[in-house]
Amino acid sequence: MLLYVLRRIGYMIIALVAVSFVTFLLMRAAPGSFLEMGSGGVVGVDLGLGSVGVHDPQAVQEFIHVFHLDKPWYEQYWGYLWGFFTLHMGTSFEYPATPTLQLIGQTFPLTIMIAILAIALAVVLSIILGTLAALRANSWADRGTVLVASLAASIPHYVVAVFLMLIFGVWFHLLPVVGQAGPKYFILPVVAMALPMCGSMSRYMRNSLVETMNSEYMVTVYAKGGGLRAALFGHGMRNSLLPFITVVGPQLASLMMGTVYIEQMFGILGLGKVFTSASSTRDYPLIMDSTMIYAVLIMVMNSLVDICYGALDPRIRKAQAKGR
Amino acid sequence: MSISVAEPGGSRALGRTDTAFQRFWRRFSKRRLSVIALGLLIVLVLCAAFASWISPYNPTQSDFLHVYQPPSWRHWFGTDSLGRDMLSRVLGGLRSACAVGFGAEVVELTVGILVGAIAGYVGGTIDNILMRIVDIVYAFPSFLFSIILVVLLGHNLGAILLAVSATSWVGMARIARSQVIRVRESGFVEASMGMGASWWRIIVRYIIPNSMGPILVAITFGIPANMMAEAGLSVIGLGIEPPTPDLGELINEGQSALFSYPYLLFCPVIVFAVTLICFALVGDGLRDVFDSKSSRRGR
Repeated sequence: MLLYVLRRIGYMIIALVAVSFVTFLLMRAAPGSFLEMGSGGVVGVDLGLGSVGVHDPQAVQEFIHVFHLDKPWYEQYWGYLWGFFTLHMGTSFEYPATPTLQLIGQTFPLTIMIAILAIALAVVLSIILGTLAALRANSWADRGTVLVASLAASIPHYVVAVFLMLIFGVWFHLLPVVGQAGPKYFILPVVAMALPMCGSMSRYMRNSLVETMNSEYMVTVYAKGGGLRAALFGHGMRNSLLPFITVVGPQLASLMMGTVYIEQMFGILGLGKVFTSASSTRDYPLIMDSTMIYAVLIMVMNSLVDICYGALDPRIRKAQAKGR
Repeated sequence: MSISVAEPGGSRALGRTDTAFQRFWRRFSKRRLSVIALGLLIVLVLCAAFASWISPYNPTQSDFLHVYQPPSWRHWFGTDSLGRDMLSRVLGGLRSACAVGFGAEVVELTVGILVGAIAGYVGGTIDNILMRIVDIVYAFPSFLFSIILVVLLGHNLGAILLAVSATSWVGMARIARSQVIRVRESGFVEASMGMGASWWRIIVRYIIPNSMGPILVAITFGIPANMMAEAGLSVIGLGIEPPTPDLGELINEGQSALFSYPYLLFCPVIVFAVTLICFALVGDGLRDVFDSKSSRRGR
């Protein structure tokens, strides 16, 4: 088991280094730079840069010096990496007055909160839906639930978001659609994130529960005088929830991606918003740091799921430990 | 995933004369919803492909005398803030989405199958190296990566194609590898190897036909995923450069006039959603046909 965990962590580290390196290389290789694409008046440094060109060569030199752009590429790369992992990220091009760490610290909790609420909602909803569908297996209620769930799963977060905005914001005037002024503002974003996840999860829950409820030991439960409740909560749910974690796992990465869209659509200032705006202004330090945060998050989540699954299912654990 | 292996020449041995396609269609056509979805999908894709011929208006032509027209017989989906016909723009947007959806899938298919098949067929160290690379790319946050690619390479069709397919080929590579290994180790391939069949014959006669099913299913789910990625880039303002119509761009624009002109948002989104749902239903049907285990469980 230890070997398996170590191997997973090893992959993660290699992948992280690969992500950071590829991002760095792409940023270096791409035409255009912050000096051309970024916002003109950089506060504090006052470069006097317009979108047409650079007017003050001395200021540019200073800018280049401050951000170590005159160093060789490997030193720059190492600087980014070291800064990221020691949490000394410095400042970015676009916001020289606020440390990047503070910028991320302000936006990150919001993103994580939405993501966690969405997962929780999706898990609860799909367990309920899946169980109801399984108990009425092959009835119209079952077919309807499965159909609706798979329809919701086949459209992306931002399309679900649009439908929710139209229904609850425009037609019924029930909920606000843009902003982050209070808890009410987060209802639609969280639901928009949760609904597409429900599809595969509820279908999985239904299928595994149907399989469990039709298995032979269920006959034993009934034969020993257990009712539906004993069968469902004592045995069925327990055996169906175990594999449930495998469907939740792969959704986590797409969930984090979803926050980028959702924050854009609902005007929420989270990490996704920081990332997209950094990307469009070529704010390299900020692109690097926000990409790394997202990458670390997604990879840690994926590895945790893998490790949990390995811990739960001895077959995988043994197969992995033996090596391939 | 366990898939029932179609025995080569099985139908001929039984004296049936129908082709593989007829056998496939007989099973697929039992799923009414999937058949309807397939029909609708063909219509939608054809509309997208011939968008420039069937569009009633020029999607980039503004008409300042008819801005914000509600849907009517003249303009089925109404007109936008510049008086451009929304139906034409939606069709154009669907064409962009389909172009990227299908185009990126071709790239993924080529790279993924090549890598997966080599890894599966050759095995050994090469398999190990290729699959470790696949593992690493699989861990990449694909969407962030495509955003960075588009930002750095520019907002053109080529860059978006590359951005969408850059990380998604690994899924195809894994499927291709597992299929090749499964078929290669099956009894009938061993038998024909024993009878002295060449490796080329084994690949063409056994491995390709027998691994088609799961790959076809993966394609049907891959295309809409690419379309979502493409439109998603435009939703956050990083898609194809305007004025080329694009569904994500329409969603973005429609959102700014959400309360005053909801049809500007509703029309493109409903077309997009219907397209994606059709893909999903067809994919579900295909999966049930090829994966006998899941269909047994589902019934």
